[in-house]
Amino acid sequence: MIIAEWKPIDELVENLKSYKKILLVGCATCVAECAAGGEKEVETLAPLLHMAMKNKGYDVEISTKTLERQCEWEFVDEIAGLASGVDAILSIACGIGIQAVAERYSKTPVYPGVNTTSLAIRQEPGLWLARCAACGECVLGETFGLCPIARCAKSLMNGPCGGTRKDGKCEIDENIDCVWTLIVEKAKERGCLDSLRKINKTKNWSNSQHGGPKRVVRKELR
Amino acid sequence: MEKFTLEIVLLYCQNCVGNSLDFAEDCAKAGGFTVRPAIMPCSSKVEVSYLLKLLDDGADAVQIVACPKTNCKLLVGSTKIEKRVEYARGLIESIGMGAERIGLCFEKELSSKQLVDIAGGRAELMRPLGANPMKKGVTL
Repeated sequence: MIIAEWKPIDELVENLKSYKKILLVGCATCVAECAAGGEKEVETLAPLLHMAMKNKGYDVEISTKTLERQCEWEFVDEIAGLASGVDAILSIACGIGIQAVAERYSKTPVYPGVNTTSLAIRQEPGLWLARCAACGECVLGETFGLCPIARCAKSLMNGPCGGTRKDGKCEIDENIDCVWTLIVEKAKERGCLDSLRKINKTKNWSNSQHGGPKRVVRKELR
Repeated sequence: MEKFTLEIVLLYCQNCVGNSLDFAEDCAKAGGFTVRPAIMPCSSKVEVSYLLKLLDDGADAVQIVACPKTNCKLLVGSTKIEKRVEYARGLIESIGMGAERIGLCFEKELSSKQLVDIAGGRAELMRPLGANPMKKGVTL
């Protein structure tokens, strides 16, 4: 899922201090799963932001709405009535949802309430771990289902590097597994350690962000 | 600033109290604060958003009374509310409202008088923070 985290309240107050009526919009999909932008978080942030703003002398009226998906136009259209009656919109969806709202309601200032940070899995309650970097050329087939792009600090294609700790953790964080150690262990387990000696084609990074904004066209669906 | 009486919202688990509660009499006896008691099926039913909304609506403090962790009928209810209260306290502290506006204690077989006394304890802890600035009639 797409992971996002709340921006600091002070930053939100600073961005919104010149408005009187604010619409706080959440999304019930990815950001709800990562407990950053779903209905619960909308209903938590609204009173918190209202109190924070009032404490600083800004008396605002905050209305709330959580859309099923903020990245689908059909759902974004649901707030047309609400959006027309406010001075600004604060979205706590991922960057895609925020842009969809900003595009649909272009006359109203739209602000992000979260920072979109990663594509991750909920490993256990309250713990999310990055699993995909949307690099555009998946190598999971060669790495036993373990992504060296998202899960290696250096995104190495020929790890492990010399920084792996003795306990198999990454040098940058004692709580993060060295994914290349995991890949090697998995290769041993499957009896195909030699497969890691294979020289792979140079990775085509033009499919990732390095290649500019992505545009996917499926003629059969248009 | 207008004069006011501290208003404490008391959210208590139905399993941590005795059989007969008489809030009408015990609340009337409370001095320097008023109590708004609300019974919950389990303390873990209290969400962070409820706590913040109560404060945003003008309550001076919210006191939650949960069962002892080893006594929770839903097993993890008291553990869950402890984490939520810690989180909520951090949030209101971060906006300058003062963490003491939200409190939690673990008790069992309480009478209504004991519940009101707990609310009174919360009132004393948060009194140095002053009235909730969200309260109507309070000017900043």
